[in-house]
Amino acid sequence: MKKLVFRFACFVSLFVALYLLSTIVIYYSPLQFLKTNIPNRKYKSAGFTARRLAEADTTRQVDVLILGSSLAYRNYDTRVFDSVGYKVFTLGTSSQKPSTTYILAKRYVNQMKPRLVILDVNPLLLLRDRPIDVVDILLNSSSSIYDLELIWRETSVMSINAFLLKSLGLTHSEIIEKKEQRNTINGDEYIKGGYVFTDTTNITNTFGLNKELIAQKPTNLQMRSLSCLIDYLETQNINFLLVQSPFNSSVLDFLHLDREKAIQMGENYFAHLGHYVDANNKLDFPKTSFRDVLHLNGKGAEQFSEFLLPIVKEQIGGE
Amino acid sequence: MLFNSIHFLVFFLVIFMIYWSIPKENGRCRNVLLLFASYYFYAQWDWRFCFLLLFSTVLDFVSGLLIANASSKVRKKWWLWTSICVNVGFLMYFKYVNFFIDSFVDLLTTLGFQVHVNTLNIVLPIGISFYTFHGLSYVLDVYFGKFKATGDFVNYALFVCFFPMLLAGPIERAPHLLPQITSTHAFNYHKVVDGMRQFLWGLFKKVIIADNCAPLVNRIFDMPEQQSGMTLIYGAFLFTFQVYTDFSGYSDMALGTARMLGIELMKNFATPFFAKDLAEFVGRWHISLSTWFKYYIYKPAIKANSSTARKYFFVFLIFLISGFWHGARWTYIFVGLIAACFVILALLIRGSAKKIMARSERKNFIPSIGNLVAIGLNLTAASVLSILFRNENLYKTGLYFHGIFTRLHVQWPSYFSLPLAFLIFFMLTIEWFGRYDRHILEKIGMGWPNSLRWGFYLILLLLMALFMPQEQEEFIYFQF
Repeated sequence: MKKLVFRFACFVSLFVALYLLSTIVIYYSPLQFLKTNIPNRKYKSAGFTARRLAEADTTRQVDVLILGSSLAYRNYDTRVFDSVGYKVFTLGTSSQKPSTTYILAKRYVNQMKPRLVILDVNPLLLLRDRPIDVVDILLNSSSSIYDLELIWRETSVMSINAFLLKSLGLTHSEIIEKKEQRNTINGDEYIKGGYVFTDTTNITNTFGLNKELIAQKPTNLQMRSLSCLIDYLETQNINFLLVQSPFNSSVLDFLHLDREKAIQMGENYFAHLGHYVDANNKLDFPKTSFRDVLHLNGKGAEQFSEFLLPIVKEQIGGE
Repeated sequence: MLFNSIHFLVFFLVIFMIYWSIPKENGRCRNVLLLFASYYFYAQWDWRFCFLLLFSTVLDFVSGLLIANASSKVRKKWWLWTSICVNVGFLMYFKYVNFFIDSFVDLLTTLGFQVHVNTLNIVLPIGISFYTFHGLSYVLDVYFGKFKATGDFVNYALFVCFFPMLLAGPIERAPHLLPQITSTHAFNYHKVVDGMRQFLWGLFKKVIIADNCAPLVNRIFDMPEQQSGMTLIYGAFLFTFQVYTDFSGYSDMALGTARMLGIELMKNFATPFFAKDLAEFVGRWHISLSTWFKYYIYKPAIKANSSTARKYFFVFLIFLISGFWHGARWTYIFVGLIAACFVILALLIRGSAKKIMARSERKNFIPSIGNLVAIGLNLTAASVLSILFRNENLYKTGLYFHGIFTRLHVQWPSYFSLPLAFLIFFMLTIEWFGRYDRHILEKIGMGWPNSLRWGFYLILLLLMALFMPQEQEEFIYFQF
């Protein structure tokens, strides 16, 4: 047994050293085909993740916490809620899956003590387990014990590499967003409370969606994580709403999906989990209300937030 | 908890350390530890089904004792059939009830009746087909007097649910596994290291080949009507490699894990692509399932003087059941039937194939022309079956074949990945060199200096770290 432990320890040490070395070399090398699992050195978050997470770390006592993907930080205009006295924080990252939302909820719900949590849900985010949201969070957040939980839940080499590079201090100086501290990047403006405002419309970007995606089934990890998230909020006695944001008819055309079928799909996945609001039952926004095929622009976000306001008031009581 | 996850690595390291730190005289403590570990492992999927597993275990344990102690043959038979009916009943309920409802409704609709029956919302307990067959094999062996019923519940329960084989086999038989569980094991350095090597190769096949094939296969099979004929053919071959590396990778990891704990599980794959004909190909694929059918259906039914027609009929029947065992789909049944046709055809022409077989018996370093022809035929036949196996219904299968024959032009297939093609070639090359061994890495590198051998293992691990896809895929056979 001693021989085994000794030789195994030697082998593992050798592997770890070689692994770290090759990760760092590939990280700095231009060989793209070797970078399947290594974050880009010129990594730049798409939605002010560093700014949002830094603000989240110092935010206490909110009325509404909105959790979800980029739909959460682009579709809910915090200023609309602010105008009636509700303090709202949108805590989302690009392509954020329920498994990541669950960890973020555990990290921030106790700190922010929201009276209501809005879970922005979308069937498309249940179909994949890609770690891009975890990498985005790891590279843009201050280190915490939750980093380990993110990696533990995700178990992807990409997330582990992001964590290692961050721990070695190799990524911090590369985060352009952190370095520049600008409020506006590529037409997106960061508004206090996590919201990202855009007033443009460009629906040609399909975000790498492919037509076959719609034939796929939700992954077990995401379905389990969604249940865990709901259980967690229930055990914390926090009121929550599941909301599906308005969808752009362009994305439905692209996916060969009719509106009723898309609404039914949302009902099937989310209605049984709690109070579910599908904005598409009441609203049908024109393409000019969208920033791209998925997200609302400033005008759309304002209208959508106004639509939600009475529902939020009903849930937490208006003052 | 997948074998290829950090969770399993931590879980296994803890179990391994505790297991071998218990003195070998305390074999019972070790078995209790493995039993708890196995239930914990199973509970990670859905803890509620632990009760079903426990019930099935208790039923077969008690049935075994009642059969062994029964005073008459009638009573023995009665207890045997009670166990069979309850076990198969559970399997039918969880796995097949919706299939029968749907098929019945379809039949009535075809006959002109309009019927609306809702199917049941049933969650399939993972591994049920595997552990049910473990239990059944024990009861049958006790009934036929091939194995003495055990009075030790812990040992028996561990035989049913030993975690390396619980979710997707190999399907073990009591005479092979139970005596190993009962006996004490001394720590053997070489065995443990050998287990690690087999695990490493299984892991490589799963995370590098199977998981990299999966997204491409999904894209091709999800929308076959939008793909060219060449892409569809490429997709069928790719899925053949995916299902092989996924399942044989799982089996290697299961066998490796068990060997590290001193237990030898049954070999489940024997490099089927290098078989000399289709009959042998089928015999080298999922060996534990075909062995199960051979022992409990074919052998009791076929006597020395049985006619050839009867033999072929039972081959057909076994393949039919084997197809149905995989799941409640018509496509699986057709896979079984077509595989039976392939095997019978191969058996009929075996006389002429013998020459090729004789040539292939040589341990040649480079494959001969005969080998290459056989590999090509095996791959093609397996890919035809793969199309049926992967599509969820006959309509989609029809669409797939229709696409192959109507949109076949000389063009490069979509989604072709050169690195993946290289990795598949690398995997096949290594498997070729290790094809006669107990497992692929058993002897490869054994004569090399330590540094070179370690270098080879490190390269495998680094390849995994570099090319492992960002999304993990569950093992295909978990759904059966």
